[in-house]
Amino acid sequence: MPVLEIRNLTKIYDGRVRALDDVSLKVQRGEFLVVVGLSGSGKSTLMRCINRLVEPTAGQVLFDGVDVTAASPEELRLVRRRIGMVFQHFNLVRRSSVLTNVLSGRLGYVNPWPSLLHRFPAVEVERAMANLRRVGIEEKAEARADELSGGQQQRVGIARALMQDPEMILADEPVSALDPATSHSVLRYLEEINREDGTTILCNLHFLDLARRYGTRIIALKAGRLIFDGLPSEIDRDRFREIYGEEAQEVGVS
Amino acid sequence: METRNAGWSTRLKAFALDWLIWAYVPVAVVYFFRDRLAGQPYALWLYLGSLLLGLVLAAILEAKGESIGERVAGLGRSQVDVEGATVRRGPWYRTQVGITGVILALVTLILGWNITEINLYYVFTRADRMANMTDRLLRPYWAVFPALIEGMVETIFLALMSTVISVPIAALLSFFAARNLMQRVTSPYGPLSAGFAGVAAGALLGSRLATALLGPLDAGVLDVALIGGILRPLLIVAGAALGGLAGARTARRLSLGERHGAARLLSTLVTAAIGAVGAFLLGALGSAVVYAASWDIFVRECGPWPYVLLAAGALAGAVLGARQTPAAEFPVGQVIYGVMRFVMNVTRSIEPFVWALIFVTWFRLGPFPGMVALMVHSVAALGKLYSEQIEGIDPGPLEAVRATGANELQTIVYAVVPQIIPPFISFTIYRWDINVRMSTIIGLVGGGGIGQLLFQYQNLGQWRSVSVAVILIVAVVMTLDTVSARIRENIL
Repeated sequence: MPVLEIRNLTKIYDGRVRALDDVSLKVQRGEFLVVVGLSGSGKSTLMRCINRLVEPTAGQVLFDGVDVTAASPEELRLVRRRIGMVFQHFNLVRRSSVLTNVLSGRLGYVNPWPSLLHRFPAVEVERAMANLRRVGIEEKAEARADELSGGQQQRVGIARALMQDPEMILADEPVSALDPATSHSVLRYLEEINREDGTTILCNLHFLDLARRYGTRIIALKAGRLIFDGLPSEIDRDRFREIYGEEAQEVGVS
Repeated sequence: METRNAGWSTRLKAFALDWLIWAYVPVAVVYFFRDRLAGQPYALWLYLGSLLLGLVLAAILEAKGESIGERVAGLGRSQVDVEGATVRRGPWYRTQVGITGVILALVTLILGWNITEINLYYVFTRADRMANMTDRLLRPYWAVFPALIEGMVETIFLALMSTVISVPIAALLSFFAARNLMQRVTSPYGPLSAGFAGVAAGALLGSRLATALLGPLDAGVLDVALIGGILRPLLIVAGAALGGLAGARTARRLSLGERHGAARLLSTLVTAAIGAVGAFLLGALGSAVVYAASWDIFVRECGPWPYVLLAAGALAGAVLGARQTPAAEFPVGQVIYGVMRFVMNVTRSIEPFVWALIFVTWFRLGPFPGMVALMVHSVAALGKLYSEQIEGIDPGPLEAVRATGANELQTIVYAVVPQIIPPFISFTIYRWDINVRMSTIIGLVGGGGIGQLLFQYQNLGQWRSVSVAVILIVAVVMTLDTVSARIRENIL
């Protein structure tokens, strides 16, 4: 059974803008699926419809057999905590400590009342430190989030997602705010999580060479429609033109 | 031209604005001669004629170039017309907007001079009348200093208490007045309406219960006023809460038990009742305003109208209610947001001075009513400032924490609170600063503090004591200004 199945997903903003148009897709467990496409092609909307940060207009999202689109608020919470999310602008709470930011990834699991007073069981704090160690910034735990560099902040974002013991991670343009070298370091962490933990990864990327390098499968969106679904090696010159338009030139991130 | 393609409602808005402006000018001219027109039977006709003249002028000017209404409504003619040639506007004083602006400014200033009765003759000839008072103000009577210090201490603490008490209330309310948080809050229509009915019934029951309980109490032994004053509101609130919960629970169980017909009937009945009560209250309010009498004139003297309105309201409510399915989501958050904003705006636009007048009647003279008056105003003012801060937060962390599966309360504590603490502290200090200044004024109506003393001295013509009070107030306000500015700089 696929871990994620999307059936005829459509999202129309304000009754006019068709951001997603009848997208259907199956994702198998353990895939590193990269979504490519121009800005405004619907990549971010697709990600956000999966965990319903954005309400789909029509269609179905099935996560591990659970109909996310029909879930009640409580069921939705239970689904969300199994899906980690990493964001383009990291979306950390800038004034909170790195540790607090990471611990916030566990909120769906812990007893809610003590958590409101920022009290976590020792085992969760240990888990947070272990995840920070995994992304190599253990020593920054007490620092304020906005004191970190961009790459470090994104690693905090990844550690926060890992706190959920996620079966799937949605990464929405995780490196487009970073320089090329840092981009690779961040994507390598996602790759490692994918290989070692078997976590399914859905990742939006701007650059095709990054997509080819990290993806086990690539899909392409154009004006909200799914126009390509295949292996990285299948994207040739013509496919590229189809996805990015006639004028486009491929640029690389080395 | 682009202007011609604009929607008719925008065009109408532009024209209405032009009419308003061009009616204002002749009306202002007529009003200028109001003393000479007083009692003249044709005065009304002059005003009506002015309105008509405004209409004609607006219509003529609408056709000739870009009018000020068109500019304001966003219909400003683009610089480039269809053929791609640039339309030159010319210097501002030769455009219609420019000329209109100058005329408006001139008319307003002249009328303003006239209405405020600016009198330069007095300015230059009567300065010596001030001499006696100024002389005494310049010789402060320092013997009253100790008494004034006591008043000042009272004022400062009055301001402090009102601020401190208002902060938690305002902070709590501000979340309900923040659009970005409330927009997402919806509730299924069935349980909501049933809960609403439960609240009303529960409150009524609580009130009845209080009356029944208080009846047999022996006024000779117990302070019945105190017990009643505590018990009655307590029972009403508890009854409302329990009733609301019970109503919502029942409706949910009905619709979960697939008894949709019953759930629908229940919610339709509730909306019918709300419609009936709403229509009745509107009618009562309307007749009270029209007859300038108390509201019960509606029941006593308006014939069948109360019944007609009750029936019509019930019908409208029922029709609206029946069209919704009980499971449909009602944007309850939007409604709460609207009500909160409205209440806060009204409360805020009533000056603390006026609030003090109200509370002095309730709590008698002294610092307590002054403190409560300032507190009420502070809750509204801080609530607005706080909620604007909440609306301005970075939505990113909110989205991220929500995506982890955190519940709404956790999301607020982890993603919203850290972002709003610095501005909240800053606004709170600023508010304390304002409250110290305001509390000197509140004293004038018996709200305690140094203001009350100032008012007494002034009434007795003791200008040398007034002088000491003013010096003290200025010193304290200046010090506080500096201190609060320094603290706020360091926080932000």
